[in-house]
Amino acid sequence: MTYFETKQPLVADIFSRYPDSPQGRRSALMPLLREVQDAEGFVSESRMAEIAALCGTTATEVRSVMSFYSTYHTLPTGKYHLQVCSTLMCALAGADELWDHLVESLDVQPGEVSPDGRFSVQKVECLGSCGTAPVMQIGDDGYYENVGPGKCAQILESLRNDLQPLPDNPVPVTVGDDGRQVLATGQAVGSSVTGLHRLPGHAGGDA
Amino acid sequence: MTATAPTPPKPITSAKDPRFAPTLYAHVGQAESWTLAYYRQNGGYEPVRRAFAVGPDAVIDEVKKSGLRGRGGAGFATGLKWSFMPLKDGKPHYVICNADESEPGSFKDRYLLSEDPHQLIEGMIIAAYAMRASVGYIYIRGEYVHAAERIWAAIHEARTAGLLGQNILGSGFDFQLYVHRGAGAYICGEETALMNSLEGLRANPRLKPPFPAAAGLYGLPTTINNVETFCAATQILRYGADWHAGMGTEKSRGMKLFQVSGPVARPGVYELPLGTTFRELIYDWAGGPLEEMKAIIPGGSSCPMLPWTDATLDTPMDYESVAAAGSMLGTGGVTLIPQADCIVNATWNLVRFYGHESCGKCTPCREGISSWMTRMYQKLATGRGQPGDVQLILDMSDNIGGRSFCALADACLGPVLSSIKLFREEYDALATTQQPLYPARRRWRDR
Amino acid sequence: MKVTVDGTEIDLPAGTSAIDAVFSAGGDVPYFCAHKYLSPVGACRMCLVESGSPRRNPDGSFVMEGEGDAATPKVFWFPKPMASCTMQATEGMHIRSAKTSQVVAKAQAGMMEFTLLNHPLDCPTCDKGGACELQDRAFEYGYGASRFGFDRRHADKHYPLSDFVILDQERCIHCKRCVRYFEEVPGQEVLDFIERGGHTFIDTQEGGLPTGFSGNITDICPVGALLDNVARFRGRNWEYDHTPTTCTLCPVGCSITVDARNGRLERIVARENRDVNEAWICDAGRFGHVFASEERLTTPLIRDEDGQLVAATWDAAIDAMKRGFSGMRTADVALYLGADSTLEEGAALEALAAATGTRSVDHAPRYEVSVTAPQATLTDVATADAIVVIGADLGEEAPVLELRILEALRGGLIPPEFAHGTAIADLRLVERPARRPERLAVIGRESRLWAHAGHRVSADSQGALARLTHPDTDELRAVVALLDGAERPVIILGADVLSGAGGSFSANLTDLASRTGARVIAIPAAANSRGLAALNLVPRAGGLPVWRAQEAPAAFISRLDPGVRAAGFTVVHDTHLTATARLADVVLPAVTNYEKRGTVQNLEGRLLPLHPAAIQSGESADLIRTLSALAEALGVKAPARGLRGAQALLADHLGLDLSDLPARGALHTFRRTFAGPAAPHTPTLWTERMHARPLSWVDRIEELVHSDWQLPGAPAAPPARAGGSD
Repeated sequence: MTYFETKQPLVADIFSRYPDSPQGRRSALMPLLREVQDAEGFVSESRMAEIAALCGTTATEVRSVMSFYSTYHTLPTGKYHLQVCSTLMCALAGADELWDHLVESLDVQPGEVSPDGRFSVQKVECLGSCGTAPVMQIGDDGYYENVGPGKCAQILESLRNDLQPLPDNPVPVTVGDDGRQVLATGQAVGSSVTGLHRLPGHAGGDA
Repeated sequence: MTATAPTPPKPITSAKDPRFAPTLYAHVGQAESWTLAYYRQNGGYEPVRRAFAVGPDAVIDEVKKSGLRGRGGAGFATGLKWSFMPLKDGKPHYVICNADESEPGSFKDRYLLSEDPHQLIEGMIIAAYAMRASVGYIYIRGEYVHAAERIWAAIHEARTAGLLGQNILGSGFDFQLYVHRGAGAYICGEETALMNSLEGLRANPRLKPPFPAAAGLYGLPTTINNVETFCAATQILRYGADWHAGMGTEKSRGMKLFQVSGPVARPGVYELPLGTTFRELIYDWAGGPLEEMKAIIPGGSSCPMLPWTDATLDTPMDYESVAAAGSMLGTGGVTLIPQADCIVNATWNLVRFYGHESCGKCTPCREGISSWMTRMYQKLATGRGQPGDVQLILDMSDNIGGRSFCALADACLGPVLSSIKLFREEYDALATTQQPLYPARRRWRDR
Repeated sequence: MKVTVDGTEIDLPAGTSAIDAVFSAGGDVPYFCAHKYLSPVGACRMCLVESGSPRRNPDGSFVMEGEGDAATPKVFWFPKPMASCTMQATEGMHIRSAKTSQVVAKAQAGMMEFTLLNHPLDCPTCDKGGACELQDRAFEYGYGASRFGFDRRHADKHYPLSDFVILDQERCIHCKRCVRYFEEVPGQEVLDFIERGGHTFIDTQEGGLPTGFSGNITDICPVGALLDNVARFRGRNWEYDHTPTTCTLCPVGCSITVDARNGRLERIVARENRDVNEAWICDAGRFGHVFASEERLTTPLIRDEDGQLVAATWDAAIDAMKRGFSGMRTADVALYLGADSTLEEGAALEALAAATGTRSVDHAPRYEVSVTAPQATLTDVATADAIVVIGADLGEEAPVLELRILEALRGGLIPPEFAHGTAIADLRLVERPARRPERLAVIGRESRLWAHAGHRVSADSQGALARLTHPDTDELRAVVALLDGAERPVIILGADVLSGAGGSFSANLTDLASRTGARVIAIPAAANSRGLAALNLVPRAGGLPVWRAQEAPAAFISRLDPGVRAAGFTVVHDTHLTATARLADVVLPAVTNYEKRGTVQNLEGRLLPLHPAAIQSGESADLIRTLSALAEALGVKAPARGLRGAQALLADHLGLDLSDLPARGALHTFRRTFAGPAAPHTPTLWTERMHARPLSWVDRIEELVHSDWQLPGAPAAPPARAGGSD
């Protein structure tokens, strides 16, 4: 049974984003790969062939594209695929130690899945959250930020009980209630957008 | 326009200036800031009405006049870039938002995407209208799951409200916008590689010429801008080119999102006028370093490191001043490197990053960076260095620099060459004694 | 356009790439990723040059340097070296190669060091050694040493991509020629890079490369990564005798080089011919040569007292023929030959037929019809703006014609030619080119070409021409509209329409061609069917065609295998002990077309030369010499004793001068052709003897040990396996 057989509306929706041409069909390749991986945890060879047929290309091309990007997997991952950012900004915040701790305490090497099927680990490059280092991503679910030893222990404990905490999305708040930016000292300086003069939405309005 | 003063006022080059107000990040962090209702309450979708009223050419003129330069790193004049698009060629045109924020040290776009998606959408409608584009794509890095969900939701909201689709706001202008998620490849930040990725291909950079404005996505005229650039365009249409041009320095005008990472009191994103000094950013806004520092990466990892000196700290953060100091403003992602950390180890980390992200298309990057340079650094940093290794790295760099197909290999040489220049003694120590001047230390702790 | 290369000013056509500018100036630039017939991509970065151009002032004048009359336009040099394969030369440009630039010389030496970083340098055991672009360029432009002090990449060195092509993953330098080739030339996305960065390697996910045009990647691989598995480990490049000749497996007539070693044909590679096959050949032409050195007949065979075929001398064979033909009229002996015989052989047989007076003369395969519509060349096909293929399975009939059709669909851009040869980098060629399938219509049975066609009409091919005159369906109306709307339309006719065609065929074709202005290629039934049609090699009134050979009182059958013998004495001239040969009274050993000198005419009417490769085939003889023996046995004077005599016959009868044919061949139209009723013919490209026996090396050694195997070079024994293998 093919994966997309029962998901025609989804497939149609994905194709509708791109031009109705051979090139446009090919554009659906990455979204389709993402669909399969999110559902099955990896993309098998038969799924590659299925996607190739949908996109009007060959399994060779699908594998080639897939292997180019670092977040697609050809092997099954654990239920919780822990991806630790290892690039400099996280490394300066101890990402290497976080990694070593995970590998050691979960007893799982990259490419492996822990015996209970729960965990797999991957070192990844900059996740774009350098202000909240170190950062870890779980599966395709989102970021866990400022993962210090204490927080790491909490997360692992929750995952072992299959209670995945919600991802973090700490938003850097730089603007106070009055719309002015706040210095490190707590002092609000500058002005607020409300003080700026907005141009009228329609031409010919008074200036 | 507002009252014009007889003498031009002194440009704003500090966020502490009472005339400066944050706009790009003004709503980031506010409750429900990502909803259409919130956005509209705060004047949203008025700029696009103004764009429709003045016409596409006037929009390009306004952006030109504002002095806006691309905020993705290269700093190319945005209005000029928009004017490269053919006017009456009868072909479909595309606008693409480069939301593949992957340069280590950069994390500004993620919050624009998740907290103020309508600002971006509006900017893209304005840009598309100016460039006669009928379809837009937001290429967002695959890991930004939350941001992608927010932006999709905002697109649906906008579509339902008639802000996307056919005949937007009765203007007769049609524009469709879609999100395309990446899957983990730094090279997609290169615009032609991004287009290949969008076309479902390996993200190898393409040959230029033809440039995207002539033959881009699907071979059709295309313009790609950074998230922040589109958002700035929204603000320019809202407050005017003169307002934007009133901030910054002569050639670097407007506001910019600067990011601070590394051991500082308040790492994060700060909206400051261009020309603000590193000192103001690091001390006044980010609260100062938590330990003794030795280097600053001024604009994302590819920008050469600058020494932690008063001269550096007093350098204004604009394209020209940072270039004069020997580096690049890049994405404005400022990373501080502590004195107690081994610079070779830190550079190895970045070299490994570039080696991992090399697409493999051209020889100097695939072999020189990905295969060789990473191992030279591994050798040095793991205590197996030999005299001559540093000289070899310098000569390899000479054979790589300016020889590669795209800028990725050169980007890797930014930290390599600058760190050798600034901290040669650390390299020499590893090459001769196999011992780092600054041994590894524990850094993992709770905040 | 004036361009200055290393100080020498030369004049070049606009659009020339910088790399071709350097070669045009007599200079040299190393390169790996560029290839004459592929898109330039600038990936290997070996072809770096320094370049600069003058700039114009706002008023259009040049920015000058120097004073007064000595002033010259100032050259603004690029700050870094540029890849010359992806840079267009422009008016006034200055280019410096390694010859005059230390910067370029160092850049190239440094790049070579990178290129060799992960290369195993196992040249002593590499088939490419001695003919390797990497080896040559490393010698010319490299440091001669590497400073890479680490272990090289280790990967599979024996990774079969198909039965024919084997990949050594360690040797690959990622030039991407093979990947681009498949995508751009045969239009197959069957090979691509996997992974990225330093981990990149090539692979297929199709369960093996499809047979068709896969072997070309072994020619264009600049290193020994992709190798011809049939020829693997069979010889070093400097040991081979290289013979430039023409492939006669089908009527395209691709230019090839036959490589023989110690008398064995070991390898065939493509040879460039811009007019015919560009740089490509099909897999049958490349890999299907094993028959030339396997199970060959090397001596005549005659019947012994027990009726068994036994080895004999030519003299004994002639005596046997004399005995066999005794009491017969020479006119009773039917004369038949294969239609891949050369024009010279055909002329000799035509003359012998005249001398013996036989009415039963024939060649096969051939079609009954002759086509008088304007002839299309292969270049016409490649540059056509509409192509209609009727009743052809090009994969069986004329594979490379399919590639020329696909060339038309991707824009028909044929790289220009310079004094140094075909342009190394034609900047009009792009990766993943836009294709125009709507320019191709196929009518008939489904074939490989259908995947590329915008118009597909499943129909009876025989009736198609008539129906195109009065189109009765929307599909056919679309085909007619395609032809009508085109400026350079071409119609291609294959076996399904030509075999057995009659009646209104010629009238319909002439009508359609004249109405649409189309040029026509009617694919001949065999490699030289078209040329042999110019000779009277068809049954005269009352004579018997090949398919009625069994009714002939006696017959001489050269390189045909009808599977029957004549009623009386039968002589078979062939390379192998075919089914027909087994029935013969005398078997004479023939040479293959790889061992001949002579001329064939391909499907577009191009005369192409054959040259003999150094293949050991014992006492085998070509048809001209064999006919001399036959004449002796029949007691008539041999009309031609050798090639020159046969060419003299052609000169006399047809006014054809074949003594000085250019290597590329020459188009020629024969004024008169002979046709007659023909047997139905279904072309098949691969025959059983063309397949390499699928033996593993272990099996092969086993077989050699247990056979009467002798060192190559020793005199060949009579065919030990005669009668045992079919």
